[in-house]
Amino acid sequence: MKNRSKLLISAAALSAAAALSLSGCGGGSAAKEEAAGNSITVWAWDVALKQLQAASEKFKETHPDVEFTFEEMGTDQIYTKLATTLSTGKGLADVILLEGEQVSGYASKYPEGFSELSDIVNADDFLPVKMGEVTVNGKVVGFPWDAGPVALFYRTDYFEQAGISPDDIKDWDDFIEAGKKIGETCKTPSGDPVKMFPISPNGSGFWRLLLTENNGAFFDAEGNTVVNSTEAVEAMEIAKKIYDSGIALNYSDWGEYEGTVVNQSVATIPEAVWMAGTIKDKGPDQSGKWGVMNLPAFPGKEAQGSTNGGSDIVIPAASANVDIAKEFVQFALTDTQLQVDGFVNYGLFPSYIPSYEDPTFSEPDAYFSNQNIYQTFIKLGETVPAINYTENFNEALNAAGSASAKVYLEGADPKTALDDLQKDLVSKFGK
Amino acid sequence: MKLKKHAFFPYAMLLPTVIIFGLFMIYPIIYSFYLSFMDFSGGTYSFVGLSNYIELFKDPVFYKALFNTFFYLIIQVPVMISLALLLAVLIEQKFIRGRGFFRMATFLPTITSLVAYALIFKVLFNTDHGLINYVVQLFGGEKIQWIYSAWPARASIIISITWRWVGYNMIILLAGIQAIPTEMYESASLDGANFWQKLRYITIPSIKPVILFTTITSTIGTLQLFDEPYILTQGGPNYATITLGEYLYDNGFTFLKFGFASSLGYVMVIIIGILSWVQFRMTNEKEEK
Repeated sequence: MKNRSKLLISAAALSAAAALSLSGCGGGSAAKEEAAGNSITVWAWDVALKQLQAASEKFKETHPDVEFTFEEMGTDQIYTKLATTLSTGKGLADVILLEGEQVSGYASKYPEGFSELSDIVNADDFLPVKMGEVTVNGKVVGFPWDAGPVALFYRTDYFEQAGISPDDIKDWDDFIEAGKKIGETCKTPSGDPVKMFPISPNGSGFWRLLLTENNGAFFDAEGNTVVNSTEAVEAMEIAKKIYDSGIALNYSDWGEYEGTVVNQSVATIPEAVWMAGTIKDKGPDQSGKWGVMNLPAFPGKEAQGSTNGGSDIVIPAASANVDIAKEFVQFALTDTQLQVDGFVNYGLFPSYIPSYEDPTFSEPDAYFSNQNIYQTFIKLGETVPAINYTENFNEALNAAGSASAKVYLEGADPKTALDDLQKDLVSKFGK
Repeated sequence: MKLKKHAFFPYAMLLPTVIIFGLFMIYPIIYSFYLSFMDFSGGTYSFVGLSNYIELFKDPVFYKALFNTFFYLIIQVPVMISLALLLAVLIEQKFIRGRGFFRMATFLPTITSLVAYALIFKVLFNTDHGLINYVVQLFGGEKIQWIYSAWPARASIIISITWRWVGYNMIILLAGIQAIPTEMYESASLDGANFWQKLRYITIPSIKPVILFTTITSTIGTLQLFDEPYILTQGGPNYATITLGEYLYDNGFTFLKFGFASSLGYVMVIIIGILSWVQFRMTNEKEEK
């Protein structure tokens, strides 16, 4: 009898232990949170993580008792984990990096999910486009970090070979002409003709870049879908014209995108400032062969900036260490030297305007043919207006990708494709 | 009395499994059924009745995903099972040397890391520099836009899943074939039966239950297909390769529409249930004969 009950108890204990250990997956950070008010767990990716680690070292000089745990996670990992942990408030980190476009989606689905940061974010100190990202339903729910003003990175050597001066490219029509010339005259190291720029024809990236340049967006200020506005149709028509001219090189994922730098297969890359970091990283032997110029304008219009990506930091309201996390984030994202290091080392373009005063930002960059690329991006960044992303952004982005594929790959008429997209999205979102 | 006490013991031993099964299988199944009638917005769930299901049946992407899923099913499962059967029979032939090597080689894709294999297939299918297009051009064909046009993209998905799973099914079929008594083949040889006759009149009838098993598991696997379209084509171009599984993932974890995703999940359950029922009926009928 005694033996049996002992066995029973141990079996039950075993099952309880198993259940506990399983339900606690990802419990590493949860345990940390309970520890005390002075430990900070960070979820971030790639170079941003490295930059935050550097910031934490500096932060420890004044706060030696604060303990940091860094967990490197890709964007997909963070979003999947956020989707599940925000519902329960358990297992969240204290400091989480999000892509700028994603903040409003999570903040509107989980209105109580993130701490209000208006006490540490002074709206006038940051780029308007970044304040737009972190302000959701009138509340500041994130700390703006790196911005993504878009310019045209170009290969100076290919331009020279084809006899093109960057000043010749005023609008997108000039861009097409230049692309044709480069395709005829330049060859990549492996012998293929050089294409003008990389594009993902299954995605909406290039159209969205043009749309922002043309002062359009997916949603208006009230959150109504406006994907078939005049600006949007104009942008898609130009995109189609460029794609149909045959000067674009298709890519389907990030690896292939980086590959266009490695293989030297494109003459230009219209991309946000953070691409500077990737270009330096993937093409160390191409130093001095890259330059930066403004995006070509829409024919008959003034040249404009565009924006793509960049990230922000959120602090979950459920965190046990909100106060110290706030202090750390404010320090990491406003300390001038850290902003300069982040930009120079990793291409993280700070959205904290006072840091632009630093003399480093007026110095030329040897990699980019001794051009002063920082000033170019700073000027561009200030012109990009705030964008209303809304909670429906991801779904709209996905559907816009398929509308773009229709236009590029199946020859659909831009206006019809966007009218269909508008109808589809309005029926899904109800506005 | 004593017996009864003993009878309790197995249940105690089963308890861990039952708890884990209940927590991670039964509870989510019931909870997602409940979620399929809810809408998630502003941090709270609200009851919306059947409107998720109504929205689903009005959604053009759902029909595209349904079409693709069934297209994969109808083309891929028969092709893969036939190929697996053929390979299994060939490996069992007496004249084959180094059987272990061939078995291993065909089975390896199944245990290869998904991401590694998807990456390699992306390179193979590359329009300008891929090996597959190189071979196509060698035979005088035109370059095929594998990832960027609808039908070739679907074909590339089918090729990839067949490559990955044919070895797995081959091993199961091989086990079935090895259980067939060799006397049957010997007497058939004496009667002058050739390779195809032996295959048709001995091998296939003997392993029919095994073939049905592989068909059912492959059917369920294909209906839940997610990895290949997600990694190879992201469901594109223009939803040409999206599956029900990937659409569910997008809605749940990217768009945070948990209610809508749950209703999609339940529609999938019903479809898989019906198909499995049909296949089980077919098995029973055959056994009754």
